[in-house]
Amino acid sequence: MDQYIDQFKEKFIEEASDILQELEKSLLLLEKNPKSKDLIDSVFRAMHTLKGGGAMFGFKLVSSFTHHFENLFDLIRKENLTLTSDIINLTFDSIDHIKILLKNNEILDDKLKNIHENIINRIEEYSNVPKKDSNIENKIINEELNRKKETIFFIGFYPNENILLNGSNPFYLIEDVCKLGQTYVIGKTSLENGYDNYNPELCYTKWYIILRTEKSVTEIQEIFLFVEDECNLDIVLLDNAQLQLNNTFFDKFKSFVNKNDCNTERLVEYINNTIKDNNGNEIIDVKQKNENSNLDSLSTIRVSSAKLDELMNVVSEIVSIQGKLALFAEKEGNEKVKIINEELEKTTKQLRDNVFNIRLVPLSTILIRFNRLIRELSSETGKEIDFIAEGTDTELDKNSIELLVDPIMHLIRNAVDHGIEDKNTRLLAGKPQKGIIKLKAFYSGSNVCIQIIDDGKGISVELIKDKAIELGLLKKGEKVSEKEILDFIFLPGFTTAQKVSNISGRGVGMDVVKKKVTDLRGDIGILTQPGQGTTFTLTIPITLSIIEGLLFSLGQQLFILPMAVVDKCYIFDKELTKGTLNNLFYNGTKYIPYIDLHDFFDIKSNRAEVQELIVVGFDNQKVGLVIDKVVGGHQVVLKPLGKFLREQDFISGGSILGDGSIALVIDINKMIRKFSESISGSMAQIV
Amino acid sequence: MAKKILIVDDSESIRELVTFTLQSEGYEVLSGINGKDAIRFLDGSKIDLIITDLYMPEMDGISFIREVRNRDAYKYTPILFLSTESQNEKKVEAKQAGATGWIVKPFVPAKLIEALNKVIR
Repeated sequence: MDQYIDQFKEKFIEEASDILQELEKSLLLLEKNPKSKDLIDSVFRAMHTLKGGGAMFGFKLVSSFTHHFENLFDLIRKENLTLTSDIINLTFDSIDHIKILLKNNEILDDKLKNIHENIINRIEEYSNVPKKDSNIENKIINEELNRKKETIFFIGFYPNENILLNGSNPFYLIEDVCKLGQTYVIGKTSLENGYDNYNPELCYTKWYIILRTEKSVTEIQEIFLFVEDECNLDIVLLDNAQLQLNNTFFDKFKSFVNKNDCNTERLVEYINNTIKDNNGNEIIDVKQKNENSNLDSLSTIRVSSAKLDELMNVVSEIVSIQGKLALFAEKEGNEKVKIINEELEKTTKQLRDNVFNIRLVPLSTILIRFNRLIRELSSETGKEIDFIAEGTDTELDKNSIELLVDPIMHLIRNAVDHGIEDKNTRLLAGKPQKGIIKLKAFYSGSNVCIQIIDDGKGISVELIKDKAIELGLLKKGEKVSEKEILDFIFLPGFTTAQKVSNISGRGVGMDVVKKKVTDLRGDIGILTQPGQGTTFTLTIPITLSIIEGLLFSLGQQLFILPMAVVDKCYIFDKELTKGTLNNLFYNGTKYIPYIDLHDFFDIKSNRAEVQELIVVGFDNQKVGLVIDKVVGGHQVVLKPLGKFLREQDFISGGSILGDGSIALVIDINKMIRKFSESISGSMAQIV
Repeated sequence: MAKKILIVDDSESIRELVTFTLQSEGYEVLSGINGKDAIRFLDGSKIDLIITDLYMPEMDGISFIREVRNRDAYKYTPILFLSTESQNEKKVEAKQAGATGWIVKPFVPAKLIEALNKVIR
């Protein structure tokens, strides 16, 4: 069995991280509502679970550490102590510490040891309030005192007839008593009516026990706690501690019990009158059941990501093959083949979705860390900040999400430190006293965009320019675009901060942020407006994705648009563009700018007689794409374009269709950005 | 037929450890994440033994024990609860609610089996 414990250990670490996350959530809520009994209870329960699980799975430090906390919150729960923001801070510190303890089961370095002891001391300080109920401690002290000397008890255990019905087994109770010390046990069964009326479910026996032990009466009583109602129990401390429990005495005692109808009083009297001086011993074996370690089914299993990747690949292949079958069925198959294909298509789709979903987790799973970060930074800097999260149900590959935590943390740190101004500056600038940092996530084609938006002072392009010139990255008078200047902040060691603060400004970071995002095949962009704030946009592809796409043709070539961005399809009627400047298209309610993809991609082949127009929605903008013909919906297995073609501006990947032809997947995000630049902002006002 | 045991605990790792241990012993195991969740098992085929934690969200162990004992079919079914050493008041409360006994946390699988064999035959 023990070799399987490790497996549960890992499970526990996972669970503990979840619990800690919930705990952080509860604490953040508690801060706003410190009297909430439900929240305090949930903190207490979380600590309790950590303590129990820690002890179960061998995390002794976690267990002993959380024990202190459980006590603290028990006091708060029972209203012996008021929850203050100091205690909440302390709890946050402790959560961090527990995270470390989960990783290192032993405290190896002195620094950690100091932290450990420091936190425990702080907890103890709070816990040391006068308690309403100090009985327990007194009891413990008394028990300590009693422990030293051995005493002898007589125990009369007279069960009711129906004691067996609720599963109690008197033998086990007696066995527990035997564990307390040296014992002598006599059982006496009386079947008054013989075996005729014998009911095997009832108990007809009583027991007399003599016990020599260091333990106290309460400890003996505790054994019988659960049968109290089903029995009469007498525990009598015998006057004569010199009584020697030997076989001669026991023999005498036994015959006395058998001959007489005994109650406690009578037996105690008998024992007290009997003094003997030999030693006797009785050891009762406790049966140890051998463990059976068959591996039975578990409700969850852990699978390595590599295996999942492999599975994804195989599923991609199946999707492609099914596509081939669909095409065959459509063109040459008979009805039966068509029906089989339909069934297969349905199942394949399910399979694809299931496998895909295994890897996806919502952004909300990491949100709590940002919440906490802002809370901490806010108290550190004295800036008041509201943190708003939008679209946190947006899902991303688990690996990507985890790799994104650090970059996002860094951007938030920057936003607090460089972006949000202090209270007075804000008030002077006519802004609300509270700064806002917004985390916004949304799908954009086959990408997920994550924006970190602050309403602070913005980034000064001039300042960066000066610094770049100072560092020799730029010549004075050189003509560069604003974007190029802003991109300097992604260079290693580049900082414009006058002072190096605790939070940021050491120039370490933005280059790392950039690297981490590019490692994920993603992109990072900056938008800033002096006095209004800064927006960082991380664009991360949903890796390994199979997406629902809209297939359309443009000349001989097939293209795919992610279905998520497609708004509506129209027949492109030149009439509707009449009377508008540039490329504007009237859809009956308003004008929408459009891109002629024949021109955009410089496709020379002939246009279709009747062209079609697909309206795509992107980040509150709507743009039409003029194409030749919409072919239809298609399950797209995204494949990278390969080494030489990877650096494409508007194509994010390709897909092989059922008939073997290749369709290119359009990166609508970049295309629209490029398009907006080319018509230089006029679009925004019209739409 | 295999004896049926219900484990109720909000901690997934504990639930799984107990489930695994008991299944290895040949028991059929049901598991609930809290009292409220576990109630649904009571009205199915009869459970031979119930093991429950005390501190759980939604419905704690004590209320769950009461809920179990309220049913005629479960008047005498053994109910064990999981408890740490320091919870003496809770033990009394659980007992009054109708528990049969307790298992001290932390326990090793062997200890669990041992406790189980005391109340189930």
